[in-house]
Amino acid sequence: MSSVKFIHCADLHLGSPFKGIGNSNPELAAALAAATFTAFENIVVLALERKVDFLLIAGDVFDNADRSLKSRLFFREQLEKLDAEDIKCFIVCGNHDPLSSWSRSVGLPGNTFIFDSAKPQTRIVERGGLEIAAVCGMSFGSAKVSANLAAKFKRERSDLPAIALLHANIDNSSEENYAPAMLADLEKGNFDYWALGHVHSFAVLKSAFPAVVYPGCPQGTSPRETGVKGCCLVEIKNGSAPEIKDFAVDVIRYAELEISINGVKTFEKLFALTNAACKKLAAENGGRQTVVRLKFSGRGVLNKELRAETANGELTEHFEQEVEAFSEMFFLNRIELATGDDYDLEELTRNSGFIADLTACAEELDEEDMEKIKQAVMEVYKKCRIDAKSFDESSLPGIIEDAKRLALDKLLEGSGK
Amino acid sequence: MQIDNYGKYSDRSFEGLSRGVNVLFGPNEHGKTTLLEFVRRMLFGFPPGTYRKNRFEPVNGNKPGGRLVCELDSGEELIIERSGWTKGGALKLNNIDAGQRELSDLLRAGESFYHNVYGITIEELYDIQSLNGEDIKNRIYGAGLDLGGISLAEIKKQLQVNADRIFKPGGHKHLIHALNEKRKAYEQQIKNGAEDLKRYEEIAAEQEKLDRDREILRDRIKKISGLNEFIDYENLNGKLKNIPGTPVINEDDIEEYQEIATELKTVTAKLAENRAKQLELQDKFKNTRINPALPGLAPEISVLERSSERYRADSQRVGELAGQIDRLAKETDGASANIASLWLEGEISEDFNFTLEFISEINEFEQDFNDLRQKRITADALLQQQAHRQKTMPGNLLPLVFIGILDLLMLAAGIVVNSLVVIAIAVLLAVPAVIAAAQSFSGDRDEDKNKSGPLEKKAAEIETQWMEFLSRNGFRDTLAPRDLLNCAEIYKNRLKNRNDLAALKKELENKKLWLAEVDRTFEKVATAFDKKILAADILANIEIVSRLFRENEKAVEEHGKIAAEMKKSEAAAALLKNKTETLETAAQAILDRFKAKDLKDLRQILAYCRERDKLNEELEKSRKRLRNIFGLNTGIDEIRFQLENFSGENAEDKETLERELAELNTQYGVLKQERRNLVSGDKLTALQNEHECSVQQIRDYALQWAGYRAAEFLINRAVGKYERERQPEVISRAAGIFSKLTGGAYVNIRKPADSDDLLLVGANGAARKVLELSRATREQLYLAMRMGLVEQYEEKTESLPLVFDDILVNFDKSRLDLAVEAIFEFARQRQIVILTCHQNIHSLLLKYGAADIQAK
Repeated sequence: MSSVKFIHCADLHLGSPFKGIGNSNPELAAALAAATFTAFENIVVLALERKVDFLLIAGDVFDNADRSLKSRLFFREQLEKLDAEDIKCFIVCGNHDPLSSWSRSVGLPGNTFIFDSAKPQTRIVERGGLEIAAVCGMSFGSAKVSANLAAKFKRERSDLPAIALLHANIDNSSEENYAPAMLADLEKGNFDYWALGHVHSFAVLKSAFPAVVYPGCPQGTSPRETGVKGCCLVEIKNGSAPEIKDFAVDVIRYAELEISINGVKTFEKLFALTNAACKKLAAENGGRQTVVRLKFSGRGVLNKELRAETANGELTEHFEQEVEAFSEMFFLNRIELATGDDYDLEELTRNSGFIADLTACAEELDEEDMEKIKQAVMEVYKKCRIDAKSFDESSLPGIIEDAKRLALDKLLEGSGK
Repeated sequence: MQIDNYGKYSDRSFEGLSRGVNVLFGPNEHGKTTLLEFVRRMLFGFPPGTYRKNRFEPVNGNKPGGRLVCELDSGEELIIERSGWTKGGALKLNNIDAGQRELSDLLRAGESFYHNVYGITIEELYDIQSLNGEDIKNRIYGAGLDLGGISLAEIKKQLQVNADRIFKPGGHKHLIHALNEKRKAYEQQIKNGAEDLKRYEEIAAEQEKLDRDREILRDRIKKISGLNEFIDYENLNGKLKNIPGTPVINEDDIEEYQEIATELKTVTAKLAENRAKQLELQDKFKNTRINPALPGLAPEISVLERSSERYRADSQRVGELAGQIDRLAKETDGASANIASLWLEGEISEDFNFTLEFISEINEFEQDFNDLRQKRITADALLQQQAHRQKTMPGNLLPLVFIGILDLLMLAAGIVVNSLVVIAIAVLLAVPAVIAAAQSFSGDRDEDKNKSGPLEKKAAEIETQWMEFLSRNGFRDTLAPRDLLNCAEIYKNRLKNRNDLAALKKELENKKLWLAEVDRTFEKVATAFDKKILAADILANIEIVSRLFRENEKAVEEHGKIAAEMKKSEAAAALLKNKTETLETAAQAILDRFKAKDLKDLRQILAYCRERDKLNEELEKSRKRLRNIFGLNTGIDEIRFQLENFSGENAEDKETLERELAELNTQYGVLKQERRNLVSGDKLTALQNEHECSVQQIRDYALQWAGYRAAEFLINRAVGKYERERQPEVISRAAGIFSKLTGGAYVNIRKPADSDDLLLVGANGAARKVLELSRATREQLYLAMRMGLVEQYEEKTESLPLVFDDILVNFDKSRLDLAVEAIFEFARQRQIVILTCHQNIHSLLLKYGAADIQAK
């Protein structure tokens, strides 16, 4: 059996608007607008440098049907670079860019093949006139595909490395509209490698026979997509287990810096702590552009002033300067305040039955209570037509903590303490 | 209770305080409230300077302080001491420094709680009248919340206001509404932005059609323009073919040839100069005469030159030497003749040596003879003097004679000059001289007569010794010592002369030899010269030879120089000749290369080349123009083919076509720009980002809003919990006390689960709301609620002293009795201090057994 080397990527989301950015800093906007493009460009450069046989894209090349012309032209331009070096490109469409959404007005170069959505197709890859691999793929025809597409895949050539290309949701029953399948379904197809897309983090569900891999997205597009993002370089030699290497190609990373105001009495000190945290972060991110979310926590004398100044925007501006002056690669996305006044909650609890009851209530909130709070948020979401699924459940404890702080501040403020 | 300094009190102690009810009676302004405040402050600290209410600063200006001696439930004693303002005052517990935390841990009650529940003033009771139901509830419950006088309703209201500012369902003035409007606007723009793609496709189609139309026009214009150009091209081509084919030459080649020719001319001239110079040198060489033999005689001539002066001197010396030798030989011979007879043999003993010792011996003999002679003479003289004295003046009177002469001269001079003095001196000198002469003449006459006999004997001895000496040494015995000494002298001189003679002879011989050598040298040198020029005098000849030799030397040197110059000139001539040949070859090569005979030919060839280049250039331009018209890859044959069947259109047609094309180009440019804008602007992505940004802001505000809502939710939940878990017990205890206070008029207090209001249940079972109660009954309820709270609170904590500041003042007699009874019952397990300015209440309390507190 021949050997083959290829790059597997997915979820490019070219031109995707960055989510979770609460301000409209022009520089940040420009950096973010370019990020998904540059990340894909990095993949193409990697493919050219490593002289791969082909590139696999497992869905969601574009973020939505409202894709821009620039995105399409950029994509074509990159594929043309591969075409010039005779590197093939195989694409399946995902839920964000179903086959129906692909316009024919911006054509793709001859090296590129987009798989059909009716049934799996197999394409044979050649190198120097010799067949070297068989790639089987199937696209999403529409944004919602509840059928188990993976179960339809069958290996057609036993003499060549067989690779399956699919945008799918594996072993996750909660997402039934994204070609759900079980790992066992994939194992039945008798492929060497399942090149999957949809999950935005790198994950090797199975390392061999078959290897089942999500490469993750090349560039995170929301603060929840933290950590390294990239693609996989895969080599299958003579029927052996694939060698899978993940490569970071992301341009911008998200990071949250939590800084406690406990014991901090001046803003100078707070700025110094921020600076130190930025320094550490810069070292970790290796010079990449970083969107920083500053989270202040703890209790201290700065709380009231911090909140007042943050509310009127002056402090935000100052921290913005602090973060961005540290490195031109840093952007301050937002400041999150989880701080409280400098009081001894333990003593307050001991001295006041009501405060003790209040804190106990905050700790005793059950799922039903949480749901009520969530529904309050959903009320806003509904009013503003924001997708309910985009709500981050992990923000609920923060809301409770904030509520507790607000109640305590008000109670203590009223009591003159 | 000891007050060191506090408010109006200074160094005051209150004695008689005990468990149960205590009463302190005093009129208004007596300091009852000060006392209540003192107890509070001793337990929780003196307020800081920023405290806005009355701090009860000591009127004497000292720092506040005092102590409470307390009895704990366990019976132990606890002394609480506090002094000063700093940090609530320095605290000591049982005389040990302590912090407020330690005391608070012991008390287990917060300051606010104590203030609201344990220390009750009449003002707080008065306030109740003006409060509504919600306020009463909050005030009553609030007392147990340990939150001071805050209103939960107010807090909730504030939270609600903040929440509504962010979002209010159905409202339009909240932040989220504004953001949502913004978001919707972006959404609409995004939908519009999606039209870009459709427009892009339309533009592509329009451009395609324009491209076709432009191509047709271009083709027609091309052929019109191309036809004339092609004719020009062909004409140029014809001219080019008429020019004779020649090798390609350029200015540089001509210039090179000219440079070679010029150089050749220069080199030829130099060669001629060289030849002339060589001839001149040859003449000069020939004319310079030299005596070839002279350089070989240089050492001899040098010797002759050096010998010239000596030769002259030595020649003269030789003559002198001959004379000297002759004279010395004669002297020597004479001396030999003089002294030869002195020897016994009659001839000079050549071996004899007149040593110094020999001479010395002769001298001694002579001395001896002389002595004898002298002695003999002396003796003879004495005899003769005697004889002579008689005839002449003795000899030793000569001085006297001299004096006498001198005296006479003086006398004569005195006479001449007629000087008596000189005459006198002369007379005076004459007298002694005469006396002395008389004495001398008569003195030595007798002694000389006895010396002549021994002298003769001695003379005979010496004579003998002398003659023996002479015989011993070979001399004749007739010789006197002086003779021998003279002989020795002569012998010595003769010996010297003989030596000198030998030396002179030697010198003479040497000089003659040297002169002969010089003569021979000259003879050798003279062979190289013409005899005619030589003189008879050798010294004059040496001078001639020397001069001629020097002249010959110079001639030889000059000859060498000319020879070297000739050699150099010959070498230069060879080089020049060589160069001439090279240049001639190079010049010929250039001519050969261009098949030319001479420079004129070359220039003609260059003229052809220029003409050809010019035509080629024009042809290339023409070819470019044709390419521009017909396309870069279109060859001339192809153009010719295209134009073969083209009849041509006139210039006017071309201008019309060009205008049409320009119009189409403009249209195409506009479309191109529009398409470029669509591509590069990426408005859609920007809008999507802005949309996402506004969505995120809404999300953020939604969380904030939820926070406010959740805070309200938590407070409600906590109130519920408080009411549910703590309040029932408080209400149950308060209900019992309230019943006692009202003398059974009310038997229970109820708190409906679905209402915040309290219901007071009368003995008849009828329930009344708080606001329906009379003021006094409400005060009873209030007091009962406080006492209920204390009972509920102290189940887990140390009992704290309660201080009631004239709270019974509004009760009528019956209510007062009931209240006092209830208070006494309540005070069984604790201490209650009642401050009052009313005599009746004071008396009543004392009657019931209250301890009467006195200040000291």
